[in-house]
Order: sequence, then C-alpha cells, then structure tokens
Amino acid sequence: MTTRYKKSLLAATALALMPLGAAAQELNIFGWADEMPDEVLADFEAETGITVTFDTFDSNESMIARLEAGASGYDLVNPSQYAVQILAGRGLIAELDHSRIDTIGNIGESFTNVSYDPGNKYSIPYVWGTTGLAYNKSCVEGEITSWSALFDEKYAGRVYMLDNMLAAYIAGLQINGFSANSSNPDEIQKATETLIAQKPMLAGYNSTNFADLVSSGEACIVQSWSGSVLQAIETNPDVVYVLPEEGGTMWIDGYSILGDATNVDEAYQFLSYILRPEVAAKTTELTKIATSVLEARALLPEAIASNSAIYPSDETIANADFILDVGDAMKFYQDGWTQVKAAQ
Amino acid sequence: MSGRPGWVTRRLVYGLPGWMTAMAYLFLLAPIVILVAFSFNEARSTVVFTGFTLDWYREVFADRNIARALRVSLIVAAASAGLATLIGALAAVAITRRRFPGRTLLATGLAAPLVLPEIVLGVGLLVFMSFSGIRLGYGSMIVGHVLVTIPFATLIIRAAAASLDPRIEDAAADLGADEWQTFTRVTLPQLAPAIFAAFLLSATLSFDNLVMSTFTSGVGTTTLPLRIYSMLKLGITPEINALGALMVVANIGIVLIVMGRYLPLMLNKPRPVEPERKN
Repeated sequence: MTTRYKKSLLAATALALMPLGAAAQELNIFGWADEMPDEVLADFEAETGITVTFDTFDSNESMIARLEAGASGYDLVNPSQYAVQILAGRGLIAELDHSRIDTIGNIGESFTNVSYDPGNKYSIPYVWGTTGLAYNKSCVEGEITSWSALFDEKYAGRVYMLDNMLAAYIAGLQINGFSANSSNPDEIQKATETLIAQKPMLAGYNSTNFADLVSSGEACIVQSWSGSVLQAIETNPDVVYVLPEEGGTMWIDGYSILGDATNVDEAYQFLSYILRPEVAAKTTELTKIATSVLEARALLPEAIASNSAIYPSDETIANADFILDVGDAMKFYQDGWTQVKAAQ
Repeated sequence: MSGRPGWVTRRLVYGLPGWMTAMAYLFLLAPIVILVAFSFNEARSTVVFTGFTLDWYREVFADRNIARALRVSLIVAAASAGLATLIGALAAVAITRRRFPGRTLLATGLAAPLVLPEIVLGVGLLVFMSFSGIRLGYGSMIVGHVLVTIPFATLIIRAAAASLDPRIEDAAADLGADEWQTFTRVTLPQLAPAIFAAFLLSATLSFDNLVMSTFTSGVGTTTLPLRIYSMLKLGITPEINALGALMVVANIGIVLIVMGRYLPLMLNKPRPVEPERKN
C-alpha cells in the first residue's frame, strides 16, 4: 500500500518534471559583479531562449573555495589569470573544445598565447585591465611615472595603497627591480621590508573608495586598478591614471567551463556569443572595461576607444607583468603581508 | 549654590557618565548618519557632497540583480527564522518545564553556535554538504542560517518561559485541560510576544548574514549582503549607500516593532498574586 503510493508519487513527480527538464535550457554562471552587463545577459537570453543565472563572488579565493567543495552546480566560471592556473591544476575546469566556439578567431593575438594558459586551453580571456597608480595633478609636482612616488616622503599622509596582498606586493617587488610574480623568498622578504618601511607615511590601505579620495584631493597618489578610477577621471580632469615605468601589472578575467558542468552546450553558445565584436563593444561601453576582442574597439565611441586608462598603449602593456600562480611561494607572501599589516 | 567651591568639579564628575554615554552613541551612530547622508549625493562620490538627488534610490529599485538578491534574502530569512523559532519555542518549553536526561546538554548544545566562530560552522557545513552530495542552494543556506539564529531564538523564548508562573498551568490542569489544551490555550498565548520577538530577531540576523551565506549559497541564491560585498570590487558608489540606508530603516523598523510589542510586556508584567495561606 505504502510502496504503491510511493511509486505513484514518484511517477507523478517524474512526469511533472520531465517536460520542464527537456524544454527549459539553463546556464549557471559564477562571475565577478559589474564585469558582465545585465543587458548583454538579457540579449543572450532573448536570442537563445536560455535562462541565465548569474551569481557573483567577491574574490578569486572565495570562488575557488566554493568550487573546490564540489557539486557547485555552475557551468561557467569567471576566474582571473592566476585563478585559471589554480583551477586547471586542481582539475576543476575542463579543456575547451575550440571547434565549438565559432567566434574564437575574434580573440586578439596577444591574448591567444597568454603565459598562464597557452593557447587558451582552459579559458577564454574576456575583460582585462591594469594595476598602476592614479594621482591628482593639483597636488603633485610634474608627472608621476614611477612607483617611487608612493614611497616619497613629500606625500606622507596623502598616499593610499590597495588593500590587497597581491596588489600591494606588485609595488613592493617592482620598485626593488623584481618581477611582480617573484617566487624567490629573499625577493619577497625584501619587498616585505619595503612595504613595512613605507607604512608610517601611508594614509592607509584602501581598495574601495580610493578613486573618490584621489578625486577630492584628500589623497594625492593612490595605487589603483584601472577600472576603478575611470568614473573619477570622467568627472575630474585632474585625475590621471598611469602604468608606472617599472611595469605595473595586467589582469584578465576570462571564462572557463567547469569540469562537472551539466549545461555544456549552453556554455559554448554563451562563449561564442560574448566574443562577437558588437557584444564585446557593448560590454566595454557599459562597464568601461576593455575586452580581448580587438575588433570591438572600432565600434566604440571615441571617448572610450581613445581613453588610455581603458586601452593603454601596446608598449606599456608589453612592459606589464601578469600576476600568476606562485604555487608554494604563496606562504611567503602571506607571512610577509601579515607582518606588513601588523607593523606600526 | 553655583558659587560654592567644588561645584564645577562636582558637576563635571556627576555629568561624566552622561557625557561618555552621549559620546559613545555619537561614535557608534555617526557612520550610519554619514552613510545615509551620502546616499543623497548627486556626485558618484562617497567623500565630497555636491548636491541632493534621489537618483541612487531610483537606481537601487531599477537594479534587477538587487531585486533578485532581495527576494532570495527574504525567502531565506522567513524560512530560517520560522524554523529557528519553531525549534527554539519547543526546546525552550521542554527545557524549562520538563525534567529529562540530557536536558542540560540540549540547552548547551542549542547555545553552542553562539560561541563557535561562524566561519568554522560555515566551513564545516560546506564540507559536510559536499561530502554527502547535497546540492548547495536554498536548502543548505536555510540550514546554515537556522544554525546561526537558533541560539538567539531559544534564549529569548527560554527567558520568557522561565518567567511564566507554573501554577497557571497547574490551575488549567486542575480545571480539566489536558496537556495539549494547556499548551495551546495557556502556555502558548503567554509566550506569543516572545515567540514573535524571536522570529523577528532571527529574521533580521539571517537577513544580514554574510559569513554563513558565503559558504552555503548555491546557484541562484546570491543574497543581498553577498551581492553588496561583490559590488565593492569596483568601488563604493552611493548606490550602495542608498541600499544600506534602506536596510538600516528596515532593521530599525523591525527593532521598534519588537520593542513595542515585547518590552512593555516584559517591564509591566503584573506580578502573580501570592495566594493567601490559611491554616
């Protein structure tokens, strides 16, 4: 009696679910907030009939932790360059089948052979930007071209560094002539000492409203992500963003298909869609972040296409480092950063 | 009076606690006042105030992602607060009214999440869920939030249950009510304000929760705090201030409801009349 009841209930549930499962196409994406405009997602949904669920994370680290736990339910993930290495290394993302992405040829040449993922084996590079510094012309003398300005006593109390371990070490390492990707404990130690020595003259570590602070003149020079100061540059012509002569760094947030993705076809459709020049142009126009699709630049309004904070010159980019996965050396960074944060 | 020596010093010393209280409140509340003030800022800045606008509120209400996250937060808050209050109420009555083996253990166990770091609970729950193959989503998040809110729900209802006069229940039994009738018609109505307060407090705690949500959210269950936290990557805009201001107003509203319903009942509870003893 009970078994029969159970069976019929099961059958009814299966019946109720079946047409849904067959008809509704879904795609679950785990990505950065504000790097993929809602309009683009809505257009994609309208064109393909696929329902997109876009959840956001706040850091590569918390995203990796969630995916590592397994059975996350996501199909596509939006890691930064070093996170691609980590995810691929742990077997969490699948090798891409390039023949299923009909627009793959639109990726700019410089993005097809990136050091963290040669040949775009695991990820499609999409949006990119740089880490450099921003300053307010009204409170500095001349042009600022070097990280050394962040360590200049003249600006004591008017300087902010990004409140982010890897970002702070870019300046700490590069000013000493090392690569921002160093995995050498001695170099990292030297950078730690430099950052500790810098600390008394800092107004603070800030990775949220530094653009406002430099725009209002409360800060003279801030370490900065390119995307974050664009609005400030637009409203205040005194604000300038530069990649320092030591190099600065470049970041790329791309898309990878998860190893346990269930909606693989839909994921490939999405990748093909976002690499179309007009879609990439729309993304840049709405987010003010450049994409890896070179042809998109020609479709953009002049103000965006010629903005050097969005599209820095090729030489400056060639000089910039990528932040890569430093593997076990990460613990030297973490120990050093703890010392920096604890220093007076 | 005022001319007497020592008057100034005395006034200062006696006034000191009051001043310190005022300063402490100012220190605690000033950031919230500034947050609300800058939500009306015309410029996209949270440092310089240029002019008054309601645009940021318009933007909050037009933002599809915020609306979706708000819906998730409300569903999770209502479900987890409901469960936490139900379990909390039954446990509170059992702990205060019954004697059974493991009673102290149960009471301590229910209060344990209060002293355990939430991040430890969150990681533990995530590992457990993935180990047992449970998909992350509403279910896992509600379980996580119940874990976080249950100590508060239980403590509030236990306090109320302990202050109930057991003789009223005895009287009900004397008058022929069975246990169920006593519970539903005598005990429960007396506990209702506390249960209501526990529900609202649990819902507020769940609504504001970030740590537990980070570990237990799944596909399509990004809560409002998670959404706000991920929006910070591109810098704070007054949109976040406007959203924060709305949340502050909602939370103050709930606290006022709780205080309005619950505090008067707690403060002015009529003392049970001592029965006269003859012979």
